[in-house]
Amino acid sequence: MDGKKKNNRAWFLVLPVVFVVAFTAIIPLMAVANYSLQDIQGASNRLFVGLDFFKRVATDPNIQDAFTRNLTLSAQILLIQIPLGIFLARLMPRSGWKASAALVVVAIPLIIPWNVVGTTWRIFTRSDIGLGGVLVNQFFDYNLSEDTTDAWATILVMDTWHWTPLVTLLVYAGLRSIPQAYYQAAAIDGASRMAVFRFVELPKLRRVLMIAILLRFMDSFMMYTEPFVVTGGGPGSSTQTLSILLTTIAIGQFDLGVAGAFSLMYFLFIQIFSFIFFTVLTLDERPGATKVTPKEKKAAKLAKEPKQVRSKLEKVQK
Amino acid sequence: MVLTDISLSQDSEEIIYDLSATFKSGINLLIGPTTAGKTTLMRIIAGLVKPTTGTVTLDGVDITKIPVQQRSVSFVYQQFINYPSLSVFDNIASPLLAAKKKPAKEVVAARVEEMAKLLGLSPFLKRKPSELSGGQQQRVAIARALARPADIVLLDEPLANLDYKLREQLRAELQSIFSDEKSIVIYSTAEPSEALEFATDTFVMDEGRLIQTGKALDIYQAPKSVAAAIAMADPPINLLASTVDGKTANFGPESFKFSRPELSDSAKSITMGIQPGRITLEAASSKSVAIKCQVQLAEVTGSSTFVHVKLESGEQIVIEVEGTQNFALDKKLTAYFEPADLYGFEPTSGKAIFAPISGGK
Amino acid sequence: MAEIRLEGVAHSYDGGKTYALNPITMTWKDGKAYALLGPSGCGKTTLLNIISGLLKPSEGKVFIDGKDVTDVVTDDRNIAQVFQFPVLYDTMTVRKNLEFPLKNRKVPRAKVAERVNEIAALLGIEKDLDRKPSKLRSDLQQIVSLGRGLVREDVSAILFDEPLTVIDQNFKWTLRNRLKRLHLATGVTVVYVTHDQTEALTFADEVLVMDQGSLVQAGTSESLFLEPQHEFVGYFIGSPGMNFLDVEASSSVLTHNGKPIGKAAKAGLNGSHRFGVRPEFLVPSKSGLEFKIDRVEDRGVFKLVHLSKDDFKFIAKTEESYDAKVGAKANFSFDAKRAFVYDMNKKAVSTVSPSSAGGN
Repeated sequence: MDGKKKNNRAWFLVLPVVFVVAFTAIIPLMAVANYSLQDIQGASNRLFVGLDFFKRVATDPNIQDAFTRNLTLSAQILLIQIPLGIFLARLMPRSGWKASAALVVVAIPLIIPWNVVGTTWRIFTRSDIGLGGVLVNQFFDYNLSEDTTDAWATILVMDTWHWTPLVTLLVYAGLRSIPQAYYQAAAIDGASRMAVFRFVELPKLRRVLMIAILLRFMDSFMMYTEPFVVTGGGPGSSTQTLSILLTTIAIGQFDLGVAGAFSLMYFLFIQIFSFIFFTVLTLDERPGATKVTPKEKKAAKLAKEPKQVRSKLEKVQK
Repeated sequence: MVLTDISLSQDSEEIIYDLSATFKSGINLLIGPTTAGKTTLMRIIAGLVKPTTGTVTLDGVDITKIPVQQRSVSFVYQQFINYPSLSVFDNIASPLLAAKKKPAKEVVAARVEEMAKLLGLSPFLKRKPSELSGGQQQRVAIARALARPADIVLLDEPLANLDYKLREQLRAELQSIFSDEKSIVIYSTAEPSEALEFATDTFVMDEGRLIQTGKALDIYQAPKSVAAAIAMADPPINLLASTVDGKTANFGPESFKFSRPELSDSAKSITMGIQPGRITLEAASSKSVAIKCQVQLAEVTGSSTFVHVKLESGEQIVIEVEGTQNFALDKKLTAYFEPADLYGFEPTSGKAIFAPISGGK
Repeated sequence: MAEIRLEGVAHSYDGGKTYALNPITMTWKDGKAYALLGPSGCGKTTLLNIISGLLKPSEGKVFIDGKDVTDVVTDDRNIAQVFQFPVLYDTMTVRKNLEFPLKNRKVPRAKVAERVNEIAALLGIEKDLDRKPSKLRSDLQQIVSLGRGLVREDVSAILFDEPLTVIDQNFKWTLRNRLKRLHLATGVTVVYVTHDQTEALTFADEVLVMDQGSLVQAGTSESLFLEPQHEFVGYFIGSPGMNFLDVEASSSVLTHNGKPIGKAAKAGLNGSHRFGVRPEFLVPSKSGLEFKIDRVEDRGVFKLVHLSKDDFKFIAKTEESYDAKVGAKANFSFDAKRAFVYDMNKKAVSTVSPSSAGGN
């Protein structure tokens, strides 16, 4: 309706952001790209190697293992934390001081710095003096610095403790935004608790869950600090995430070319995965999904005429 | 203010067609259905949209190319638009403070208080808009529009989102507020009863065209076209296809004696119209024409009842009766009308052929 | 189908400090259509939710067919409710939405299909049955919600909570017509909440007017218009609403500023009161009160004449043929059965007949 002419001056307002992003993301990324395509041995000694480093990354068995391992870890994290988060969010009180108290308690793990979490758990899980470690040792033979399963399980439990609250909070906010009328309608329709969850809550939580899954996937796929502090990636390489491996290659071995190529591929993988995930899940929300044909448009316009007048006009026109 | 040959097209679609009009100071009413282009025209007048062709002149000065910021215009929208974080006082003061030369604090305060008093907002000056009712919020928006004396005040269906009791009240208030206003006030509405109540210069728009201008009652009584008749009638005017030959005419299945100087002797199809309020349930005179019909639904508004009835030919018409009366569904009725109260229109072009004699009285 | 009885039902959201709903005792007869009419915040939705069981009243008891259901949950009350805006299950098709209440109650499959098709035909949504609700226009979505309320055959009552708010103006009367016919066809008890007087008066056998948490008058649309028993009814129903004037009563003679206005039919009326007469019943006459004509609104088929006298203003609704001249003096009188005097609690205490003295 409105005949606004495109006013491009608004783009100037975006400039500051462009600068900030350039310094924090694009320029460092270009440096990485620089490293990944050339073998740089000194300030004036460089050799263009094309995609050699990328090939090496793709075929490196260590990297392949870490990739599979990290993917498995992310999948397990999502499978545990998303349902657990929803479960906890549904248990939380909806209003009053109890709701506030529950929110505070749930949010505590989220405000603890990563390395503090790692250190805390490092001590907590020590099988000789750690509270958790000693306790578990009563039932199982538990030692995370020797047993790969123990180490893996510890990482999973720690991450679940640390990050499930994020899912819980998101879902809680999502649940709170569902109008009461939907619950009332379901009660009137005689829907069971399960049906209410399946047909009212889950569909309304879709967007929130999508965000939760994306965030949890990206975070867990880039996990570094906590396993580094707790297990150091060990025993062996059993808890070595991609990030830990990358750091080892870049800083430990100073293999900057491979590390650069690795970083870029790592980055692209997360980008592409998130993009596909998002696209698939929002497929039927796109405006194109409900196309209005010109005929429908016309009908809609006609429908705006007062009803009786319209039928009469139609008749009269005959 | 004079608009000359204004037209606007967008995406190769014409939205406003060659529109020329002259608005005088005081209230000017713009009426038409939702898609008539009223809002677009007001946006052109405000300078928010540039017309594709044509000029807007104010007191002889061409202002077509002057941007909205430099025009002396205020605009009240259908939605209650206020600054949510500012108090009512600051909301009303905002256009004054936005002026290039900020007036003195006392001047602003005096003006705001004057406006608040005019619109009955004095007790609420310290509150936030969200703490007010819908009607009060819209009054704040109106006060804001009036705070800075503007040459042109545009009100775009300002009462459409309010419930009917409030609408009644604000309508009466607005009239007295604008009665001694020197600026040009353009008030758009989709409701004929508002136009009849304001009883002022009225501009009827339909599908981007200005189809008739004049006093509201004159348009109601002698519309130049079907579209103008529809735009000005509430409840909607009854329209039926009819055949006339200078001596007789038919209304649905009933035929009756009918002659008008505007009609020749040759048979001709026309569109016959009659206001729902002009159909009665008792014969008023020997000339009354009886029509048999069956009740579809009686809509009761309190002060009047709209009986939707079906004629024996299957066509539907609406009868407006005084007060609250109940009619059983499917009940058979005989209704009457006076041939003198009929409107006649060309069936294809919609042009008026004849209007009720002596304005339907 | 059932009779619903409320006994002293009241509700307070803040533990008794303020009441959203003052105590109400009344019976909703089987098969009738009722409308709860009032401005927003008058307690009508609270009352509706108490009947459906979504809200437990803080006082009083609810009976359905003589059985105390105050503590019975919504699910077991056999009540259907339609909300103000479309409430639909997004992931289900329109058909599945309509089937849902039936399937939950283990209705046989063949019966479900039959019933769904029947309702879809009634509401004219057959061709949309296999679409997702999110793909429909909002008014069609609301029609689907209506359908879900109507689909069950075993309901005691159907409650409508302003169901036509989102429906396009021009489609409203079609839907009103369909609802009314549907009510006649099924004979189910219907309670319809609205703030729109036309909707209430058109649809209901009996209209209950509510204001500030109290029921102020219940009656047919005619009686609310002709005999408003409460000032609010006079004001809220009718456009323009009733004319009111502060009067002093002395042995039933009503005066304003010492000048006679009329005489109350009830004997022995004294003290401050309010006089009320609808614009429709303030009629031009030779005798009666003398007014000055301030303004005339010619509405085409009638005229609204704005009158003033001393310190008060009245509006009269006259025939189109009434010859009103602005600034002229004119006498107006009122119909003895149609003018009322209200006490300080805004309740009508008597009808008023015009003073024979002529009002000067």
